[in-house]
Amino acid sequence: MEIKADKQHTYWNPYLGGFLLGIILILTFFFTGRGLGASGAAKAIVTQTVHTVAPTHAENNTYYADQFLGGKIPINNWLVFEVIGVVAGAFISGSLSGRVFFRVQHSPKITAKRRLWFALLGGVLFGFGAQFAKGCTSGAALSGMTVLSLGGYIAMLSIFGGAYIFAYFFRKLWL
Amino acid sequence: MKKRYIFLALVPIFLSILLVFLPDKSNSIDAKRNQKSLKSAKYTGITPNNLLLESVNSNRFIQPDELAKIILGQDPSYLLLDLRDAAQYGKFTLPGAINIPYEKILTEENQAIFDSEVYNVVLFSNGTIVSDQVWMVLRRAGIKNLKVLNGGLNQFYQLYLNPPKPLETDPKEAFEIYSFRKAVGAHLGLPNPDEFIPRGATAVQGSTISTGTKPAIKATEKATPAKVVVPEKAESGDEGC
Amino acid sequence: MGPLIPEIVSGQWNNIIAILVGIAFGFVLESSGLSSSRKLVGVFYGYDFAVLRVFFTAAITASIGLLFMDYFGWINMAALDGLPARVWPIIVGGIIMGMGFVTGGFCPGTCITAIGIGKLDGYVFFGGIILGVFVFSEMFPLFENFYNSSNLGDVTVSEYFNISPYWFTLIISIVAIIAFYITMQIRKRVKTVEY
Repeated sequence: MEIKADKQHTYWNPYLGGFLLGIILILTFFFTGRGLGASGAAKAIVTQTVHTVAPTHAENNTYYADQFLGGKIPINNWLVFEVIGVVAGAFISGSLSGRVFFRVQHSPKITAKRRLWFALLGGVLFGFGAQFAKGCTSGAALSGMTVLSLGGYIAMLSIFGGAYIFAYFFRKLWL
Repeated sequence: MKKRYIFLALVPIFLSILLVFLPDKSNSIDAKRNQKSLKSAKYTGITPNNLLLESVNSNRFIQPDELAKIILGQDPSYLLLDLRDAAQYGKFTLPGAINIPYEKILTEENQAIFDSEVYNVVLFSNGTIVSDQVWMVLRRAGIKNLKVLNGGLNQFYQLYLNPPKPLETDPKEAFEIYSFRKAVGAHLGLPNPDEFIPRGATAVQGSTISTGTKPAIKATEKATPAKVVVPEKAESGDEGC
Repeated sequence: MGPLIPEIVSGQWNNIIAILVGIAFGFVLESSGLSSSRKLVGVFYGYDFAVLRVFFTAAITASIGLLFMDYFGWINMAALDGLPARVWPIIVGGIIMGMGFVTGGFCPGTCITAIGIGKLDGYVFFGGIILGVFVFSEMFPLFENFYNSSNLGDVTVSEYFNISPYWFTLIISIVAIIAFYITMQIRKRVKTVEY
């Protein structure tokens, strides 16, 4: 099957993408009263795992315990379902453009292994930070900004500000 | 390309300007935000779980005998809060009590009273219901050091107007409590009990209000009688509350 | 009047709607190219500002849209979930997340789209998120006081700065347009990066 190289790298105009994302946000808020998110799903997965494997330990820790207080099931979380949808939606879009295949995307100046190590580090930092802010760029920043929430704007400025501060030190990974 | 983008860029600007100048924003989000649901309100007070734990614990109740001791001792760290309306407060109240009608407990000036946190606050009204409700509300607002007078003023005055006489077979403690209560009644300036049984209140049984605390105040202690002299239970309405 | 759940539509629809929303979200993100880590970090190095454009456009579109709907009475904006402004925890968390963004090249949302199209670095990043959440949860007693500190509650920018939300949205729109223009100029001057 011949995949046209240019189709693979042809993306939508970002303004169009942003506009459609805005419409999705409006509809989400209209139907459910909440915005999008992603890091909350990771939190739900961790809590569910810990709760299943070591229930007493989970009960003693208030951070876990809040999520299954009153018989709630941690994994039965709106965000978990949303994330499942995101994987599906990305898969559909990628398939239509021939972008679905296993690979490690990295700068030609570094090895794939180095990329993966830094991806792990980045993930750990992101997961850690997202707990403090109770959200990530989609959940806290984007959805927060949509409803003019002060916390959302602070989150957006902190995330992008923090990234700009550290960008110089990691430029070798990307440029 | 350029022209298209300029046009597109003007669209949100135009729409926002439109929003700014739209008439009649009485239904706008700022107006509705004042009726915000509790879910998004600032959650500085006690969590529902902890509130439940505290409310099943009867430590928050202060018994009339304990309160009488505090009044007689004129303990300055206690703040007595009369939650009834101003009219009832004017007729009679506990010595040194200040009046905040319970509907107004959450106004800013009234909340300022709790700011210093040095007081142990005793909430009371005619019965226990209103003061206990106010306890819930204030706990939710994060106020600490609250106590509720068990039985309210109705029971308080019943106890000291007409202390239940101990039976011959009761232990010595009961007699001590009895004489203490009569002394409290005298100190508060309460007149002959038999003429002033409150309307609707039943005589209090001795065993239900035993506190187990030995009255340490001497009955003969002289102190200035409070403005409470004649307890007229003539109020209707939330008399029982 | 919205939001429809939980009052007008039953809560059981919530998870189904979540999946549908997710499909749309993932589709749009992936089609805009935000599943590519090198495209994402372009905003920090000046060679590709797609993230900024998508992000800001989405925020403005949604804000204006919701404000209009609120004005017409179709939705009650005050009932929507905002982010409680726990100022210092958010700032600290944001800076840590920023560092994670520029090392890993993803944010959780885009990482999920990368998983959808088979990027192994996306899988590893998500594994890292799980690890990070786990570490935080185990260390939570240390952070508990800080985590709950400086909470201003669910306050909006218009309440905090005492300006009308409509003026604020106008200002943000203008800021965004200016940002788009400036970044367009910057991109012209930065060495092109092939990815």
